[in-house]
Amino acid sequence: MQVYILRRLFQALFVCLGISLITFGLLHVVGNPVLLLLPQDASDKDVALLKEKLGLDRPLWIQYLAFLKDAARGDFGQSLFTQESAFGLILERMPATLELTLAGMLVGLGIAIPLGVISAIRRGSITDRLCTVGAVAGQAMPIFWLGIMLIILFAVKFRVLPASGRGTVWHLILPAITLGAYLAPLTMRLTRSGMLDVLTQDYIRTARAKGVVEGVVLFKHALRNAAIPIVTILGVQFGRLLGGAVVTETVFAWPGVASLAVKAIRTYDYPVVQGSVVLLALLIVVANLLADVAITYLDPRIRLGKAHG
Amino acid sequence: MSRSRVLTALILMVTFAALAAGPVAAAPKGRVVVALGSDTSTMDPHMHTERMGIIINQHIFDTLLARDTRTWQPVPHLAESIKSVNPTTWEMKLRKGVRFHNGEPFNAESVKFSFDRVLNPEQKSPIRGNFTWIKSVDVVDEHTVRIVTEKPYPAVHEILTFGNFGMVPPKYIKEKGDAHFARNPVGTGPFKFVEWRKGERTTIEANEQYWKGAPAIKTIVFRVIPETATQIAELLSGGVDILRAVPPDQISAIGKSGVARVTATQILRVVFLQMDGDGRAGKTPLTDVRVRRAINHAVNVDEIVQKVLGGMAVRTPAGTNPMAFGFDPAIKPYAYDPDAARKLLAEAGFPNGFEVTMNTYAGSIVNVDQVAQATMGYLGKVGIRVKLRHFADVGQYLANFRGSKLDGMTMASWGYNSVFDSDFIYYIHFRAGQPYTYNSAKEMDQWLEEARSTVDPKKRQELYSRFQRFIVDQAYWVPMYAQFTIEAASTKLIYEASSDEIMRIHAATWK
Repeated sequence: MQVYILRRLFQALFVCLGISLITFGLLHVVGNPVLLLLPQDASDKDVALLKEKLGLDRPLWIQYLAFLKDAARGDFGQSLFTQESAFGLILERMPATLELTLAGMLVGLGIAIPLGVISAIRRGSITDRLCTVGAVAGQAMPIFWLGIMLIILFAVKFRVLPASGRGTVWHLILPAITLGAYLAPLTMRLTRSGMLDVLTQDYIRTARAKGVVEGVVLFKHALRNAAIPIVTILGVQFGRLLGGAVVTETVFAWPGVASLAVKAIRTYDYPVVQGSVVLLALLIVVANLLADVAITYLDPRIRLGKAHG
Repeated sequence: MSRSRVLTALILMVTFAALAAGPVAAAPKGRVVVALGSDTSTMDPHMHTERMGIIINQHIFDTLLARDTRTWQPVPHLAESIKSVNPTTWEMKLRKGVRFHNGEPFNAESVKFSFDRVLNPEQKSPIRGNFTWIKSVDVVDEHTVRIVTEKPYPAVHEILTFGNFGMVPPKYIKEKGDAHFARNPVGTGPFKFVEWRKGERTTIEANEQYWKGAPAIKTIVFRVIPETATQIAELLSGGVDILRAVPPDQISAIGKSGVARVTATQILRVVFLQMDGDGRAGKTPLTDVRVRRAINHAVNVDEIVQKVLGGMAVRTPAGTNPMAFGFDPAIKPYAYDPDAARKLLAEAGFPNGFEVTMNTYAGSIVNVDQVAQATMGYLGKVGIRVKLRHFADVGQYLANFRGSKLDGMTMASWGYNSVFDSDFIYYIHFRAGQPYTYNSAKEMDQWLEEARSTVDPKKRQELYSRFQRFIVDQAYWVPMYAQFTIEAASTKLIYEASSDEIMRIHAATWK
């Protein structure tokens, strides 16, 4: 197991390297921050001077090697706009993004799993159909639209929740619902199909024949097995969730990494973009790893397979 | 005297006494929340050029000169007076008894330090280029400073009001370092810095010892809210009191809400259709003056102002803003006359029109898509088929502009770097060799150089009048209009938008 985790982490290193190379290339090809740093009436001489001072006049591959050399020591350089450590700026924003993403995940799972289970048990019923329609609608709904509708409804019309910002737990409710609604449809459908699949298995029939209480059958025997694809997908979904967080953070003025990265991309603040992209990629890799580890506990066959292999 | 009369007299006396004491007697109270579309990168006024940063800086720092909020002319502020000793030397007398928020005295030394800091190339201040006309800044005595310029420089007063050029405390910065100062600013301004939560909010508190008297508001919170729809929701639900950049289609909704009202005013930013008359980005029919005149006759700018902008714009017949020095009210724009346009096009050899690129960019121009579409429509009517090329990224747009790559015409805008002087728009767009020059002529070079090296306002005005007649005759641009800033404020506040786009919440009062 430890070897497996170490190997995965080693792979993660190459993932980060690849991602840093791609973002570096893309950003530098598209443009540079010098014109945005200077007043618009800056002379060409001022532009050239600042370019030189920032080291942006060097060949691209030298700039990339310099970046790698520093990054290897955990130094992503200074933000071109704030003259502060890019990594520091990102870490400062990380708790907000993690808080939002985890809350969104909880809300999403909180909606998706019970509804998925109910849909599976009452297959073909009105409830099942309503859930399916809801899931399709949920998947089709743009996340920013939902966010703004929730704000108008709960902050402007009923005035029961704050419209935006971070602070109290009340501030977390609307963004978490928005992000959760983004995650829920797919998870719900997976839960439903997983449960349907499991409920026809022999061991469920055996359990029922033994006279095991239905609740235990459903949650201990069935859901635990149906959970395997859900957990796998959750790991993958984490990346999507971070993507959703970009929009959610913008709509709700949530001070997280995603909105920092978006601003940095718009202003070509290379160090901040590099740092946040690498860090977010690392998070996604870790989330996938956690999902894989969780599955080995849910499914002893995988664990045994590893041990023998 | 009856009892009631005595009482009346007493009440009157008390009232007058209270009135005489004025607003100074009232302690600052309450909290105002302001929504800004993005955060500032730094609290150090010398180290950025961002509008949001300037707005926050102006509450914490004072500039040497400020603007009169009716005429927008420079008026004394931390400098009590400034006078010219000779064409290249200016002497400033500083206000006495002013202290920074940390107790450090404001004096000639702090002024010299602030100038030298911006001018030091190692400081890497992005506003350095705006101060390179200075040769030296010398301390005469505790409260007197002399600025020596390389050449006679006419915009000294204007630059001293510059939003980025707040006076900073030398001792504090030397002791704590730039990095600390960038997060913990100390100025002489009406508000003291309290807290900056990056990407989230900046909190400042009234400086009750402010040399102009304490402000009316106790606490101001600048909140970062990127999404306009969210800003408006916050305003309507009472979470935010003031916001800037209200989209024109939201004006009536805010007006009807009862909790907020719109305050709009003319600003420096002007919008114009720049044509590549030199053929700098490649030859097009626009190098022919008849074609450029035809285009000027073809576009109905007045209708765009009325229909697309709801009347919230002011015509600029020669491109420069009526509020900027050098504007000549005698100059009239081309009349809307499609027939004259068609005739001119036929004369130039384009009886069936031609195809041309129009470059546009996102940001700065209000309703840019609609303005561009309307312009394309008018041009289509005289046979000019426009190919639109849109830049979603300002950096890209500027790089192409400077890199001689904006062929055909460009729906451009210019904000004068907040300097109310025509030099700050014309020089960079019409002086040969300047980054944004796509139209040049020897006469223009000469007038522009002369106008920027004399300090005599009468002579400068004459030069700019001549210049404007020339560029209108040559039809280098379709000069369009000066924009408005559209802000919204809670009905509990007395607050007006400013023509220099610096929100003066420190001057707001409670109703």
